Amino acid sequence: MSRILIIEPDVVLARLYKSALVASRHEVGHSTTAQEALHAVEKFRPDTIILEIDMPNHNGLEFLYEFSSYSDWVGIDIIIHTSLRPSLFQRMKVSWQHLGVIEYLYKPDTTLAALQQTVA
Amino acid sequence: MNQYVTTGIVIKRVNYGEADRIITFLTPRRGKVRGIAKGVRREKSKLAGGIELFSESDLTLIKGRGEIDTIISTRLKVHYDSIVGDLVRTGAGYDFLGIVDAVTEDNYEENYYSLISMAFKFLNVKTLDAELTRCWFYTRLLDITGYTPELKLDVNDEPLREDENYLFDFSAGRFQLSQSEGFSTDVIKLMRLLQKHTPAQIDRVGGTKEALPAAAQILSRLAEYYLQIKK
Amino acid sequence: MQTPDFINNSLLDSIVEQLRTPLLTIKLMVEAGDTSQLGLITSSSIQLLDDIAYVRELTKGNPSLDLSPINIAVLSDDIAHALTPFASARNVAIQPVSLCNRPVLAHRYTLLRAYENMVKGILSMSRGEKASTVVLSTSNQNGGVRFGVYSSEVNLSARDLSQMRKLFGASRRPASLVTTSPVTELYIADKLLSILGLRLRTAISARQHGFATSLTPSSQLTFLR
Repeated sequence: MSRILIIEPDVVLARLYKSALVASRHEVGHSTTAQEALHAVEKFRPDTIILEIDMPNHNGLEFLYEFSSYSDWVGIDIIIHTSLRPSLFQRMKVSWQHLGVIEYLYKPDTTLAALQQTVA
Repeated sequence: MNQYVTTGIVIKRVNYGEADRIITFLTPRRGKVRGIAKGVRREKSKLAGGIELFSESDLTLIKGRGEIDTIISTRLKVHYDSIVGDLVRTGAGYDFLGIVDAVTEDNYEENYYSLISMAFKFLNVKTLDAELTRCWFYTRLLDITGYTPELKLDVNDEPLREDENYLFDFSAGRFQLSQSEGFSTDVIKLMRLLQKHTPAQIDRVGGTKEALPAAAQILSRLAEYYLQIKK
Repeated sequence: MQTPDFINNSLLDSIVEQLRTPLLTIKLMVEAGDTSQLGLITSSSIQLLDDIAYVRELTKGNPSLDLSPINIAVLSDDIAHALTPFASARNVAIQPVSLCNRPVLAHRYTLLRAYENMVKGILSMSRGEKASTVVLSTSNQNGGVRFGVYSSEVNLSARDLSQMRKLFGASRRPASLVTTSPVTELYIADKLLSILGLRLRTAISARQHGFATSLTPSSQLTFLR
C-alpha cells in the first residue's frame, strides 16, 4: 500500500482513477491544479504522483519544474498520465527523467487495470 | 550599504530552508546574479513564490559577503504569459533557461541577456511557431559561442548546390554531399535565414515549415556537440 | 473574398480535445462497471455536436428566425433544471436569481442554446475540489434585460474572450496545443448570440466573474399574470 497523489483537472475522471487505486488498497489524494498539488504534496507526502500535463493556468510541466526545486521531495516517483498525444508529448523536447518522471501513460490507451498495475 | 538595482530575468529557482528561495538571475551588465528571497514560500498564493519564471523584473539587492546577495524588492516589468499557456512553448522556455544557465556557468557575455530576452519575446507570440523560435535560439547561441556552422561551402570547400542532398558533419561544422538520403537544400536555406533574420521576419517569408524539424535537429545536436549541453 | 468557414482548424482542434475526455470517461466507466452517469456524458457530447451543426446551419445562409415573447427568468429556470445533473457531477450547484420579469422578443431555441452554452462553459471551468455555486442572474440593466452567468472560480478576462475570437476567427495559425478550456461552448454561445444581434461580454456581479448578454425588452408585450 502506498500514498498516491492524482493531479487531474477533470473531477469525473479523477473519481474513476481514485476508485480504482483505492480498490488496490492505496491511500489516494487528488488535486485539480498545479498550485493545489504543491500544497497537497507538502501535507499528504505521497510516494507517487500521477500527473496530467495538460492543465489550464499552470500546466503540469510548470508543476514538475517547481516540484523539482524542492530537494526534500526527491525520491517521489512521477507517472505522467495524460491526454496529450504521444506526438505532441515528444514535441515538447523535455528531459523528463531529470524531472523525476518514471513512466509516460497515454490516457486513451490506459485502462484502469493498467493504471493499477503501473502503480503497484 | 552595498545596495544596487538591476533588471533581471529569472533563470533558476531553488528552495532554501523553510521559507526562502535562492533565485538566479541573468542581468544585462552584472552577468549571473544569485539572490536570496526571504520568506517567499510562506506566501502560498503564488505558484512562483512571488518571482515568476518567463519574466523580466527590476530588482533591488544588497551585496552579500559570499556569492549570494539578498533581494530587497522586485517589480515585475514583463511577464511572458503566453509561454505558460502552451505546453510546447513552456517546454521550449524551460529548455532555453537550462541551456543559458549551463553555458553561462563559467563565462558570461551581455549577448546572453538579449538572447534570452528576445527568445522569450518571440516565444510569447502565439502566431509564431515555437519550433521556429527554438531554431533561431540555437542559431544565435551558436553564433555567440563562436560555433556558427558553415552554410555556403561543404567539407571540400565546394559551394553547396541546389537539388542535392547533404549530410551534416558535426566535427567539421559543415555539410557534406550525400549520394543517397540526406537533408535537402531547403533545410540549408532555412538555416541561412535563421542566421540573418528574426523568427517574425522568417515567418513572413513563409514556406519554411517543412524544413523546420530537420533544421531543429541539426542545430540542437550542434549545440549539444560543441557546448556539451546534456539532454 | 471568401468568408471564413465557421469551423476552422483551431476550432476543430478544440472540438477534438473536448470530445476526447467524455469518450475516455465513458470507456473507463464501462470498465469500472459504473454506468450511472453514462447517459449524462453521452447526452452532453451529442448536444455539443448538435450545437455546432446548428451554428453551421445558421451561418451558411440567411435563415429567418421566428421571434416570440420570452421570459428570460423562466428560460433561466429551465436551463438550471436541465443542467443540474451536469453541474452536480462537478460539485457545483446552479442557482437562478431573477430580478426581472420583462418579456423580450427573440428566437427561443437559439437563445436557449446560447445561454446553455454560456452556463456549460462556466461549469466546465469549475475545479470541483470543493462545492461551489454558479449563479444565473436575470436583471434589469441600463434599460435592458441582462442574463449573466457567474462563478467564484472563473478566471477568464475580456482579453481572453477577445483572443478566443481571434484564435477561432484567424485563417492562418501554427499548430498549437489546446489546453483544457471550454472555449468551444463559449465560442458557440458567442456565435449564436451574434446571429441574434447580441454580444457576449465578460462581467462581474457581486464579486463573481462570468459572462453576460443583454436584450432590449419589448414594450409591446406584457405577460398576463
